[in-house]
Amino acid sequence: MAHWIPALVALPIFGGVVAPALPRRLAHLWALVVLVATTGIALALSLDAPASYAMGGWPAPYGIELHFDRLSSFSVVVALVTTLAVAYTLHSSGPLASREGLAVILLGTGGMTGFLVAGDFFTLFVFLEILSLAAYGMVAMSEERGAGLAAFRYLLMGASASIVILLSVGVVHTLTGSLNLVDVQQRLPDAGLPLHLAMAGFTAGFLVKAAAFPLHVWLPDAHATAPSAVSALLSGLIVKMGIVGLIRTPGVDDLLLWLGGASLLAGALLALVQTDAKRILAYSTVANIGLILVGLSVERTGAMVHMVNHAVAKAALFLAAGAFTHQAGSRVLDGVGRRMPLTTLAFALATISVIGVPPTGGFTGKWIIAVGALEAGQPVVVGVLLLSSILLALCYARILQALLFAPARSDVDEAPLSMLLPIALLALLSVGLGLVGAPLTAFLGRP
Amino acid sequence: MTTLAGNLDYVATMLLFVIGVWTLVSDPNLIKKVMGLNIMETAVFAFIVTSGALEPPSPIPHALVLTGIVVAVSTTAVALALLLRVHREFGTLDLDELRDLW
Amino acid sequence: MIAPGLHLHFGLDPLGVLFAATAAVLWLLVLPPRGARYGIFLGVTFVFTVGVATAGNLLTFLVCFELLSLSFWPLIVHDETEEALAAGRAYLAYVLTGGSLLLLGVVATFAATGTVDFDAPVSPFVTGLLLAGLSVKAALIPVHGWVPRAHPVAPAPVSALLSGLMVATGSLGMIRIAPELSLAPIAALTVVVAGVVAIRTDDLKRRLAWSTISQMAYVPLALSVLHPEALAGGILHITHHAFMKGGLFLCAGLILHHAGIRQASRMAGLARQMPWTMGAFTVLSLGMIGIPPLSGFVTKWVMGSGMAAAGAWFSLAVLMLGALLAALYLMPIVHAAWFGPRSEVVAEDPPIRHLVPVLATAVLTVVLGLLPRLVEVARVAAGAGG
Repeated sequence: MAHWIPALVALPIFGGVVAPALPRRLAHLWALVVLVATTGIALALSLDAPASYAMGGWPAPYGIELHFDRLSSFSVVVALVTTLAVAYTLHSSGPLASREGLAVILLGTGGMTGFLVAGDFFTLFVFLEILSLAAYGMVAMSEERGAGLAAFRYLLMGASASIVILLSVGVVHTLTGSLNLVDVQQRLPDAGLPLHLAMAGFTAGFLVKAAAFPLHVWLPDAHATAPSAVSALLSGLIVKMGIVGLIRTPGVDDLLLWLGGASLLAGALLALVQTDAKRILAYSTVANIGLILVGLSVERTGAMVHMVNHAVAKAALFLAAGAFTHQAGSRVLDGVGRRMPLTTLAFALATISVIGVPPTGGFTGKWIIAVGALEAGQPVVVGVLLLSSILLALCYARILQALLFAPARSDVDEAPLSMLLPIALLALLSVGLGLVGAPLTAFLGRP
Repeated sequence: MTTLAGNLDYVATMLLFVIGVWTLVSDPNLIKKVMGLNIMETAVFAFIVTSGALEPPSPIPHALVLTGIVVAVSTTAVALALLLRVHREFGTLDLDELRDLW
Repeated sequence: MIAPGLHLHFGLDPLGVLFAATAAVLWLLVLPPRGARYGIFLGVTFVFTVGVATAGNLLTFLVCFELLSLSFWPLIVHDETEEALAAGRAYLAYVLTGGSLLLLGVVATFAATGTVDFDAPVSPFVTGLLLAGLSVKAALIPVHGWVPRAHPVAPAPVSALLSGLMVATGSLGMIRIAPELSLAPIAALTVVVAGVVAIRTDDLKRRLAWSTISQMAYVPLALSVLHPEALAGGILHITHHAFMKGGLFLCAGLILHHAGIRQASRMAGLARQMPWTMGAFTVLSLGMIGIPPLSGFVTKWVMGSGMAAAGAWFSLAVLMLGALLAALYLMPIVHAAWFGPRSEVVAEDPPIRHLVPVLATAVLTVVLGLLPRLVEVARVAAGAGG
């Protein structure tokens, strides 16, 4: 079974490399097939975890080792959400739905799966860069004015973060002679200041990638201009890679707690003054990343659970928002929801999950982290969490109000099936995952 | 080995890094920012290569730097491609002017 | 099942059954729906109300409670006027805050005791959190603000449901938790202040809304007396108030629709043109005040005897003061309607099919007052659910 781990990484990358050579109609089908297969492999590996694979048979610490552990099972979410996002673009005519666009998406997926199974810092860095470059490219694959600039800003911040991470890798190697993740983690308790500074470098770099406050500034512009499918991937999956990086490179728990709380507040407060639905969703992501950061410091399992649930729900929200804009022909959403009841229903379900109302998926992570915070003696954070939830709920209510309670427009039709199905699936999943919250938590909580 | 003079090479690379950061942050021209990023990247490569001179000698820093160079080149390529588009859409590559246009 | 250590738990006990049965009748009375969206959420709110009634632990209660609050929102803003949408936003702000406080209390309970049972032993601070969250829904001062804003803008049948049972879910939660903290001071303050404000409010629906705030505060008042008889009276009051206030709101809706009148001051002489409507209004008002042998009297009697038996003279005084205030804000309307000068307003009684629900509530007010069986049920509920 373990020899499927390289396939998990190689398949999407191979798919991405081949895609531009295919005729246009075939490229979409090819992408979907590759992604479905990747989902299957990820699922099979998750059931068999943990597993390790040494590339070329060279044992550690000489060779590159790929590990598939509980955290790596997030690759199922990665592959599934990407599959649905690509399905969503089936009838799209923008640059994203071209062969090159699909190639970038596939390469990004390969980058993410590779990042999730990396066993040493070197591999981690390589795949981080693959997925980051794909991300910068994806944001620019839009016909919106300003998309190029938003992508460039993302690139500047992301590349700066990456180079800090590379520096930290170099320092780690200099200090310990090893690049193996587990090995370095074990050396941390006895290490002196320099090693901890290197870990701080990792933390800083990954916080930028994760769009945590105050390093989140690239996210709202990227979301406002990128195509909806890309936003779904960006908020749903790519920023989570920053979190994965933080998990792989343990740092300062207290710092994460404070930054998480700050993100929760900042995201909610900044969302309140927005008028564009996508920007509200973007700041909601910042807040949820804050929640995950808090989880990393008090109850790691809760953070992983919320990673999964937020990815699914936020992807549903962005795809639905894209469907509204697509059918309405503009960013003004007043009354659109009345003519698109199914899409709106899915949007409402995903909203309930993101706000964290039981028994949906968003509640599970929120609950575990809140309980963990109280048990760790941090009641203030729980108050911040609840305040943030209330404020964000009001923002989402504003969107729903505009969709449903404004005068109806007569020229809007329900979204086509190719858009509706992925949205509906993700929305149902976001509720369904909540109903199986305990088994999901148990699954992620095992080492 | 913990004296400033003994670690001059590391200090130099870090100085270069700071110059890169300064360029990235303060110059309003977007191409200059990309250059600043490249200077930062070069500084880090220099740092890592220097560390490879330690005993016992290790090939890993070299591998790290080669990978890093590839990444830096790719990133610069993407960055410049994006700048082409920015210039096409806005007619300028100056951040101050862009702020007004957007 | 939802998270480690958390289970959803539904159960049937006398209190829950009584609440659910009241809901069933009340929801039946506010049919027919005004459109697809209205009908859907009417059904959804009913389901969640039954869920709240039959919730077997704090978590289940919280889930249904929150979902109930959210699903009432589309009903409140149904008319989609600027005013309605603004009131809807205020409503959401209040219930979301209350829900968050309740959630915080449940989380704290779980962190402290490892369970989410209603009777989990927790510190007064945690109990305070739970009660604070419930108080927002139960419209105790100072978190009552959503009530006077939401009721006037919502369609009359929705107001009937809101006043009838939605507010009561907050009180139900308080009964379930059975705290040792006394809510008497806040409840008493609410009864009196809301009653006084009601007297000075002219808009009919808003006056009825303040009446709800005042009347529903009886339940925590009775609960704080810690005597099973008083609690039985409080539980009974939930049911009877639901029908009486529901009927009053339906009347207000009919008056608005068929006479074009929103203010109480313009209702002089209305009874001559809308005898059936005002007749029902009169019966319901007498019930609210507590005139025997109507149902409102029975609840006050049971509550009062419980308070007397426990020596809670202050609460008893507040109880009677509340009845007096109710008389002061309801009787003038009734009196003016029957004996006042003929008004120039052109009005007539609504057709039979619109009158039936209103008349039904009036009949219930009379009949339930004559049924001692119901009191027995309430007593059992108090014994079991208290």
